[in-house]
Amino acid sequence: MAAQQPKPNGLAARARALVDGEIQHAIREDGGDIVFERLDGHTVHVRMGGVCCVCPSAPRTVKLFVERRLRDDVSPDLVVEAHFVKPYYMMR
Amino acid sequence: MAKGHQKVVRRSLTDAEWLQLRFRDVHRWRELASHPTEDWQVHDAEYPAPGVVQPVGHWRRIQDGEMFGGPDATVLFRGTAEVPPAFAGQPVLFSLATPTEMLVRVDGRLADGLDPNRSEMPLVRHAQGGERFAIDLECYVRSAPDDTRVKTGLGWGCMQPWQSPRLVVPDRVVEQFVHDFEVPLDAALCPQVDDDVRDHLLHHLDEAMKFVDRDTTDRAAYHASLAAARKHLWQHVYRARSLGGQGRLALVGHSHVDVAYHWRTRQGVRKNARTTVVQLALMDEYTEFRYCHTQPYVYEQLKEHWPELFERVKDKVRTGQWELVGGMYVEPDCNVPSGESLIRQCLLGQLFYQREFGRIVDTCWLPDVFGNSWLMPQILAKSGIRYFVSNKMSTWNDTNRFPHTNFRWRGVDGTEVLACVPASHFISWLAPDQLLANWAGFQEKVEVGESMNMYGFGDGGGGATREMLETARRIKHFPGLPHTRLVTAKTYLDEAFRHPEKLAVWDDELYLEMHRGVTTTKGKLKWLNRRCEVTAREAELWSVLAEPYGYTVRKDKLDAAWKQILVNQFHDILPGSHTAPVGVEAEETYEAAHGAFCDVMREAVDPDLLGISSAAGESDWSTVTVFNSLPWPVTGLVRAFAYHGTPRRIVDMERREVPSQMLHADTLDAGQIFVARDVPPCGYATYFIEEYPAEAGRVLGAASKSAPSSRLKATPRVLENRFFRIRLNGNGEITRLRDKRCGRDIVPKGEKANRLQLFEDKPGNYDAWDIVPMYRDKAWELPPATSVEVVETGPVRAGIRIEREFFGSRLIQHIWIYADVPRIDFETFVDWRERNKLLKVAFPVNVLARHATYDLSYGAITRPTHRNTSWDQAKFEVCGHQWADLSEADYGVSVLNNCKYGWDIEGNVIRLSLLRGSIRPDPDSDLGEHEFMYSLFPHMGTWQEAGTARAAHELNSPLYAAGARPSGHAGTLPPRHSFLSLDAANVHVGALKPAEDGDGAVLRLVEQHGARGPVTVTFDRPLASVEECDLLERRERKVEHSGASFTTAVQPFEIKSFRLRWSGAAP
Repeated sequence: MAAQQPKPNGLAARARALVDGEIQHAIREDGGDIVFERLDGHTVHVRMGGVCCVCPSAPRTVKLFVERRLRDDVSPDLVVEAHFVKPYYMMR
Repeated sequence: MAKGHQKVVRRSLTDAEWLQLRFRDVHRWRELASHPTEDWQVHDAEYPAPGVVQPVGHWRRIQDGEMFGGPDATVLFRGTAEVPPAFAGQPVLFSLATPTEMLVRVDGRLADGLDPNRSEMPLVRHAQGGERFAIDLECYVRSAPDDTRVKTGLGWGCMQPWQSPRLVVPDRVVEQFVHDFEVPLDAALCPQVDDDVRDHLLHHLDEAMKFVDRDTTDRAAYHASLAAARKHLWQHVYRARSLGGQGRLALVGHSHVDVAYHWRTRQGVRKNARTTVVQLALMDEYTEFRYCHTQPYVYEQLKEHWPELFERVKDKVRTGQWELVGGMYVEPDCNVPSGESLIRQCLLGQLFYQREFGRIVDTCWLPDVFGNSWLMPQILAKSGIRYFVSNKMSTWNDTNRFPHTNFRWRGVDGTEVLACVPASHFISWLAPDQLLANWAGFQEKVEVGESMNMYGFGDGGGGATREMLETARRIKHFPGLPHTRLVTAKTYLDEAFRHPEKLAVWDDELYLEMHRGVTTTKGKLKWLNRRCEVTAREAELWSVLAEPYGYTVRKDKLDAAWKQILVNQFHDILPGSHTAPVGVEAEETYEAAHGAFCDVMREAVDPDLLGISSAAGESDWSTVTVFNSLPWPVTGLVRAFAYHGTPRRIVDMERREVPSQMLHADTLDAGQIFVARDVPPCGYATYFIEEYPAEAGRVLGAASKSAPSSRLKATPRVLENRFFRIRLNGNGEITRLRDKRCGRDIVPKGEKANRLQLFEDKPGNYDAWDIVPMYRDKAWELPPATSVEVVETGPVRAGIRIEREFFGSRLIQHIWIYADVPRIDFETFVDWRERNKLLKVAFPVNVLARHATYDLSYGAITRPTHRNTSWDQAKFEVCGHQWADLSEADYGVSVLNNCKYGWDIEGNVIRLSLLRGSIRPDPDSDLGEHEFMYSLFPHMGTWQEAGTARAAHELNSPLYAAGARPSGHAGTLPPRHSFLSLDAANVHVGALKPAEDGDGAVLRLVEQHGARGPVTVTFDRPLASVEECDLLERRERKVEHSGASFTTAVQPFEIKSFRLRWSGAAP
């Protein structure tokens, strides 16, 4: 019997579409960046870049903007974990 | 043993620190009274277009400390400010410290603005007590203040905590003391200030502070002590003439507004509104304040979306406090736009000013532009502009100090404008170090004696502040600082350039030794800009030529499309130095403009509308009309229609078959191509398409490869026609190129031409802007090609297809040679996935030349190919347009292109920059698919003799085939016809456009070779009048004409414009 392929995870696809779509568009407007990495259970892992790496408001933005949007538009159970990757030009 | 000096952990305050400590205490007294405002509500909103705010959701209460905002968010607040009875008789301020940008409406009227640089605005000058004001705040939340050098002390970020505003009664006495004390304190703390002056200032600041009663709680007593302190300061500091400063500065208030940058144009327009309302409010408070503002585009937007504000600007223009400057529609990039685009910037900008304010301006105001083309002096001068102002060269050059501040700038044709490149940044707040640096950097201290110092916050607008104006009041004759005065820009420029004969001449481009990457960043925008410029020219030209035949010129559509192009040429849009959404929007508007021009052109070049006869063809044939928009006969390939694999026989008017072939299925366009020979200048030729006779058994070449042309040879390693024999290696690189016309080998032995080179491209913080000279230190060899195959073998063209993969990217290139065109084309597609890499293509050539020539679009410039001096070394990446050339006395090689602008030519190697992969401000800049063409054009003689400029125009403006229609019909126009022709090879028709005032048309002639002589212009119908005009289409002199022709003389690289009216009917 052939191994069954896992069904596409609709939640992940919707989260990715929102993060890499509208949210990314808004954050990139300001010189920041956000990229969907993966969904583990209900935790959405994102990578932040650009000016977000040095912005004191970034953690708030992750929780109050990114997470709120995901909870409103995808699932109320989602939480967001962000890690920040400084681009080369910010390295000291 | 007695102990020696022991090191102490704590030390005493320095004199300056002690002063600052006591001074901070004064700030406690700044407010006479304060009253909270309450019951604020918040409403999220969207901002989809300039001036359009769309609330989303509903109003809800917001408490102090509650977070609001988001990336690029618009948020609305409303509340009520009730002035307490105790405030009666006092001025009342509305106070809110914010890192966001706010438009403030009071009782529905746009009253003022708040931003990181201003936290208070006047609410009422003389309160009654008990007044209630409805306050509305339109708030734009951004991640960071526009200019992060300004330390606001406020937390950045796009999520902000709300803090209710307050009503404040300021203590004007304390306020004035603060200003009196702060100016000398800042000077004393400035390292550049002379030590004797510093000692004097510190001493008297200390003496003044001793008068201040820091123990009292009685305000009247405190005021009395401040009065004594102020008296001391004015006596011993402000009037201390013994320590007079050196130099003179003219302070010119302005605000640099980036139409787009880290924000889209809709936000740029709103920033402009905020800047405007703030500066208007300051003008009421400080009647000596003079402010200048540029970019007619933003004025236009102000008129459309904030008309009441626009009327207030008009009032201030009438009183002279608000000065109009900058005749260009926006502050465009001044290297990549074509000469015609730069002309339209001036034309639309100046016409706006004329229409709305009754006059044009005589300044070009470009503080932040990344270098300026050598074309500009002529274009500016012929647009009514006398003065050119920019800052970049004096403050940003990375190698050489620009040697002038005020000078005469001589353009490529010899025209001069008066140029001012102030030696300080265009964003300044009158800090002592800024004033001193400006004077120190000013290079005409003897010849002119006074330097211009711009002040006011910018990039995102903002402009002057109260603090700056209070400072300006106090530094007219301040010890240790240059003397200053507040003036308009025009006052300064008129006075400074009273004796231009005393000034040096700069006879060259204004090359900025920085930001060299912007000629290549965002390749798609460069491609769209070139396409739009080309199709704009074609659409206008054909519109004018078709009008006598019943075509209705779509001036409104042309104007709207031109405006879209001009806005996109803003110096942070077209160069690519913007965040991702700006680029997306720019592509959309360019596409729309391009579509509009194409629509107009298709309508105008309608053979049926024009009445072109097809009677020479059989009734069962189709007719193809081939149009040539260039003013010389053109032989070139025409793409006929896709017959989906079924070839047709194509014949000319004499029914002679012309060579044709089916295109390879994988090329960018499918269909059948044929050679149209000597298509008349600005005219057309007719061809007919018929089915092949069934018995003929003819098979065309190309895809089948079964009928190769004897004139063309193609194998994976050799391409040959009657002009060239080309040997290639397995990667599509040229190892040998022989020009059979003169027996010359073009590629040096052992070298490879068409060599793709990939470099590391990590310039640092200015990632999208810069290419640093060290990029050559690290390069990668591309892997071998994955395939090379012959795709077409003639009889019209032959070619090979090369496929290469490197890192994550994929490149497909077709190399084409032609039976009748002495040009080698490299039609290239790249799926570009690289980050921080620069892709170039190199052509080493057997040419010894110490200078290379680069196209400027309306002229040409030569630059050294050696690197002898630091000036030569700094130009390791330069801007050129459609072509560049290396020539000896009798032979040369030109490289042409259809959308690239970054070049470097060193020694005998011509290199064209193809793609970059910058990551800031847009992390995905240039990712994706690109299509472009570059060509090799080896030639006998000089580039002028060989017609390089014409060859480049033919590449960029190819022949156009109008849709097939039935044959056999009579018409008023013959099957072959020219509407307009010139008799001089060195002159081009840059534009033929409807006149802006609707009276006739305007013809623009451009001399391209650097030669002089007569040129006769001939139309196909009689002229009624010919008048030479300037670039604003203002009539200057009548020109004699004879029937349908007139003759004029052109000077080297001259741009000449003529207003034309025709009398005769169409033939």
